[in-house]
Amino acid sequence: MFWHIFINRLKILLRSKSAIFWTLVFPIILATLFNLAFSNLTSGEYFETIDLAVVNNDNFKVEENFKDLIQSLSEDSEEQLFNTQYVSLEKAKTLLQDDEISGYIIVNDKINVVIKNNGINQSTIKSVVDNYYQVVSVINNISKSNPEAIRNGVLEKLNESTSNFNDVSNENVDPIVVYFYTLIGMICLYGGTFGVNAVIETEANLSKKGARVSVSPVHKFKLLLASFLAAIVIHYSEVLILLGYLLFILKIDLGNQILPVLLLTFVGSLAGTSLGTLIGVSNKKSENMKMSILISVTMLFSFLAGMMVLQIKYIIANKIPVLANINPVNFITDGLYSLYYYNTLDRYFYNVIGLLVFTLVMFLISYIFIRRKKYDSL
Amino acid sequence: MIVFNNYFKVLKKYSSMIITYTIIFVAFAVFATNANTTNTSDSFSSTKTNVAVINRDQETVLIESFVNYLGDNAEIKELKDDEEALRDALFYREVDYILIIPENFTDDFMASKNPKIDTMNIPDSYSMKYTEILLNRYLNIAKVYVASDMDQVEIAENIKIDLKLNANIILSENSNMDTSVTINYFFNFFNYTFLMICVYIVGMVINSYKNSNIKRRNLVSSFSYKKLNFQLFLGSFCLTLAVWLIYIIISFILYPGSMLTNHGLLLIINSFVFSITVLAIGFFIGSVVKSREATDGIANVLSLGSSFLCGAFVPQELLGSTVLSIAQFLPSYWFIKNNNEIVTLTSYDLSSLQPILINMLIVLAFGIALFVANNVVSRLRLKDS
Repeated sequence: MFWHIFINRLKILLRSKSAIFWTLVFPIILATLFNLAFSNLTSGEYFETIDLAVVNNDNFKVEENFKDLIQSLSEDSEEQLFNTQYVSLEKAKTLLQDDEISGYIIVNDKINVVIKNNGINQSTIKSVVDNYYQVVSVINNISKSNPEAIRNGVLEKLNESTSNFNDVSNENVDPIVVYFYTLIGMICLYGGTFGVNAVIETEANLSKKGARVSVSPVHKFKLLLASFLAAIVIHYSEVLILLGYLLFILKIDLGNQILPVLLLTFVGSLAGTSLGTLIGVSNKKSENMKMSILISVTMLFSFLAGMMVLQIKYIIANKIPVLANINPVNFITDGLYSLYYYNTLDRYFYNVIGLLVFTLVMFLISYIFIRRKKYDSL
Repeated sequence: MIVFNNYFKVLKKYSSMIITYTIIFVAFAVFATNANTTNTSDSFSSTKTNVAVINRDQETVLIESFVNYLGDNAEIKELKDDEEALRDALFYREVDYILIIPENFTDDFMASKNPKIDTMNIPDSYSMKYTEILLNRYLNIAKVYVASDMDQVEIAENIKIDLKLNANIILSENSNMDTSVTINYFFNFFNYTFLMICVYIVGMVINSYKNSNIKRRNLVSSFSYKKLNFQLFLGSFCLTLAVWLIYIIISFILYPGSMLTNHGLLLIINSFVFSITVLAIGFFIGSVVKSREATDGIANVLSLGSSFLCGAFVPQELLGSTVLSIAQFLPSYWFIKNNNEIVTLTSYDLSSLQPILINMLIVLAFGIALFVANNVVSRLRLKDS
């Protein structure tokens, strides 16, 4: 009997076109759109040599040290900052006007930086010229206070650059992946669609079909279990299809370990079903209304986990941590993020456990709603 | 005007949806405005990166002077000295650069032992390059002073004087220091909510009239089919106009200063032209698509899809060239492109307005094409029934 119900539930769910659209096709379309729209988003962050012009007048030619400085920064090397052209004043003006360069340098009695707008390129050019002046001032200072030191070659230290730091950054720093993680979180919660459906079609006070199966000589628990099992089988398969699409077609980085990802999304699928169950049993509204509630709640959770604006996730986690710790989409997103960004699994397991607790609480409350129900025989 | 009146009865069902999307829209607009309000001054100001300094050494004169220097040249953010807190902050770009000054740094530094500062950054980024120039500048000068036998206090004082020397910045003619163009974000995002609301509702209402039983009933009645269609069109037109008006009023409430300018006027005209095309899209989908569920799906995919591809969410200059060449087949692309071009206009003679007008004509052409297609389809459908 159990398998009979199970197989038939599978068939029913597979045939509901709109449920399959929202839980599978829609997330895939969204993932594709994310991929198209976000692929270049962080490229603006990465450094490209700054286009600069220097007016090649007599003053510049005399200023030997400055000339050397610009030249060394424009050489093709790891440290290259500028892509420099040496041009006439007129040419420099037109280049700036046409946005071919970020700014130009003209040496008169002082060194002037001519720019058109604010920005990090302009700031970089300025700071290089600033530095030149400051070094001159340092040399003057020392030759007054300790001329001996200059002869001992202390000034060479001014040009050492890399040796001040020890870089301990992570390699994976692309925040775009988190958008896809929130999407995985969202599709997990969309599993609630099947949860709502399972409850409606087994509870006697919610649908005619529910009333009919309630009078059949099948234990309620068996009925519910078969329905949930069918819901989870269908939904988790959908999650796997989306994961496969993200991993193999869009080539989204999901960290190096696939098993933890599968476990997390499975628990996520359970969490979605449990949320749907609660929404299904807790009120007597129509199925459409319940679906709207589920989708709105999921959207809210996804928003708080950073799906629309990434920084929201960070702000919530730091300012209102309680909100992050009841949000299933955040557990899934943060779990995937910790697999991508951190080498240890501590934080990952924290998220898995959080998600499990969420699921249990949802099922427990649902159980309180549906246990020991008796209906009047009207 | 029975149909026309009835149109608004059906519409009542969807009023909660209009309100929900409008709230989302306003929330987004307010957020975008706050996020993008940078300095509006007309003078040069250096870019400031967000830097966090974790000091594991004592509070020494050298470090105090170093941190003060950083405070003048960068935005200092306070973070907890906790591995995860630091790495999270960097990942979500709360900070661009993190410095961890190790224990005994000052002692080692003063003894010329070349101690290293641990750093976390976004590898190969502008912010990393720029911040390191700033940091090296201080540290290298300090090193020279250490080598010439100065103590911490002397170093701090000397560096303070040295670093006051600055390059002379000259602004070129017709420079544009104002980086706060937010009003086009508002109208770009308009693409999403407006398309969603109008396509969904117009689609749904038209759909309920074209639904076979109701359609057949209407066809056998004495009421002329032309009249019916015209009144449906009029209803949809009023709805679109009303929603458009609501959004224009919101824009005046949110940005009163920017809207009462030539830019504002052009943006209003541009959005109106786009509204006509949106009306055509809704009408077309309502008559072509048969089920309500499908209309729902299509409205969502269309509004989200065009918003992602055409630059309503992510600015067009950050989209790849392939994406943009696909987007050109959608009216939203021309609408958004026009918004972005309008806010950068500096003169209003015919030659500078010409590209703006051309963009509007392209948007309108999409609308006209859809109206024609709609007529052809309904004529064919009429024969079927």
